[in-house]
Amino acid sequence: MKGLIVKDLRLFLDQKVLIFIGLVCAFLCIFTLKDPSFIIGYLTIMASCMGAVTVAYDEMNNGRAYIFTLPYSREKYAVSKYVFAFGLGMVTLAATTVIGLVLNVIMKYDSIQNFLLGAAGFLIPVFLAPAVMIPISLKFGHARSRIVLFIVMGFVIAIVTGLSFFDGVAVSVVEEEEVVQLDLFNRFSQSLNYLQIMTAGIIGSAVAFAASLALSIGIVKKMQF
Amino acid sequence: MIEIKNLTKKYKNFTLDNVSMTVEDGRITGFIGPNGAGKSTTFKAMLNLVKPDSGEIIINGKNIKDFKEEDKAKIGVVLTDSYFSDTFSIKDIAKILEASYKTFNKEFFVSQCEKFGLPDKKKIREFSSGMKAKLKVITALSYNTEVLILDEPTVGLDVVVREDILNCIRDYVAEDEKRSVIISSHISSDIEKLCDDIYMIYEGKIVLHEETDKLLFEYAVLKIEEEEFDKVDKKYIKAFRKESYGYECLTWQKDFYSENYPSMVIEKTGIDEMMMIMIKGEQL
Repeated sequence: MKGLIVKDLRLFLDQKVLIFIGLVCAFLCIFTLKDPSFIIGYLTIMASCMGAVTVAYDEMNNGRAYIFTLPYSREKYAVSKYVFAFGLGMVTLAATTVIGLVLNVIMKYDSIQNFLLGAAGFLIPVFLAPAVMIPISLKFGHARSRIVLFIVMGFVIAIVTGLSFFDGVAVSVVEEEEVVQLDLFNRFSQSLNYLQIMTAGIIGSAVAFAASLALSIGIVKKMQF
Repeated sequence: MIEIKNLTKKYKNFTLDNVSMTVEDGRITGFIGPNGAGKSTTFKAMLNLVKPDSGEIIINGKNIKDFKEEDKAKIGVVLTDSYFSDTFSIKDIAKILEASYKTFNKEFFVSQCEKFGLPDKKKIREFSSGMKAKLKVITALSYNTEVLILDEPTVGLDVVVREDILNCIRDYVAEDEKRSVIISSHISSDIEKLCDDIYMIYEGKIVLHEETDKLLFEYAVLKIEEEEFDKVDKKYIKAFRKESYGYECLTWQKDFYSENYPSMVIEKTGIDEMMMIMIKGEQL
């Protein structure tokens, strides 16, 4: 798989301008937002997406047909995409967390525990960005995958907006032979602490990542040219 | 060695129909035919890029369905319309090949790129079509393969560079008698000069297979006037087509006709002309 990872790394490094702009924006945000967590999230999500987008670059000039003649199985090709995107996300997350931690200690924005908990939350997009982008890009191709991604994002926003309606909505329930008004959403969310929600999120996104990988292997195995 | 047995692949508007071929060890086999005849589909089937409906392909004694990574590493490939991303430079490609093939000969790759005047730092998208074609062939030759599958490797090259490329392929086979090459090309002179035998495909079917020497020295075109055509013995005529003066017939026994029909016009033929008669004419 080494050759495939080297190939993706060369493709990533070819996006020098985008990487440079991302770093400049992050640098400016350090001084304007005074929130190191934002920089961690911004750069980590950007890196994960850039890792996943190498799928689209392989498709350019019908290049994937040639790549499939290299001495790798199609399964390994799919796995390499996830390894690269996840690896890139993790390296960025680790690097930005260290930088953010130093800034946090110097500037005393937040407690170290809170800061690290916040940073750990960005593991979710590190799993989710490749999990969503790679199979869509493999299945629908570079051009159509953008439309599909747009639709998927629309669904996500619709679900989140829909859930927010339950926040503060009271329902009538019988409790100890008395009809009382309960805000179920708040009761549910208050019963969990941030650590539990985040752990559930990380586990859920890791499961989605594994399911997405299995789906992508299936897509890649069926590809014909 | 490559063996293709009864390969069939059906598409909506095209069928690769029961194609069988053999590329022997130590030989260079040409694969010719007009556009859309099925050459690229056959090549892609050999590389597991299309899934055949039936038939089997055996390379170096192993069915390609059972190929492992080490088996794939023994095949050098040139595809007409596919290569690494054109954002790469030769240096990038060398790094990828080095990480992918245990047998990658970096020294050979770099020296051949230099020999053919390919700049190592320029991106491939800035290369001319000829430079890209050279790079594809050099890549296929650079990791000590046993089988070369070359789909139109000389397309876009001038005659001088084509000759160099053909020499590289020739040397490659000469170095090891276990090596075999299948090559397609629209440039018939390349095929005539390079190949030991030739397969011709038309509308998804193999219509001709012959040793190149036999094609060039025993095949001929008979030019027969209309009123004579019915009287001529056609047992050695492969195909014929109507012309303004009568009929043009392709024979694989020119001596038979020169001995038995001394007044008949018999012309030496090339692959292009043979292909025209086989495709445009009627096959017997």
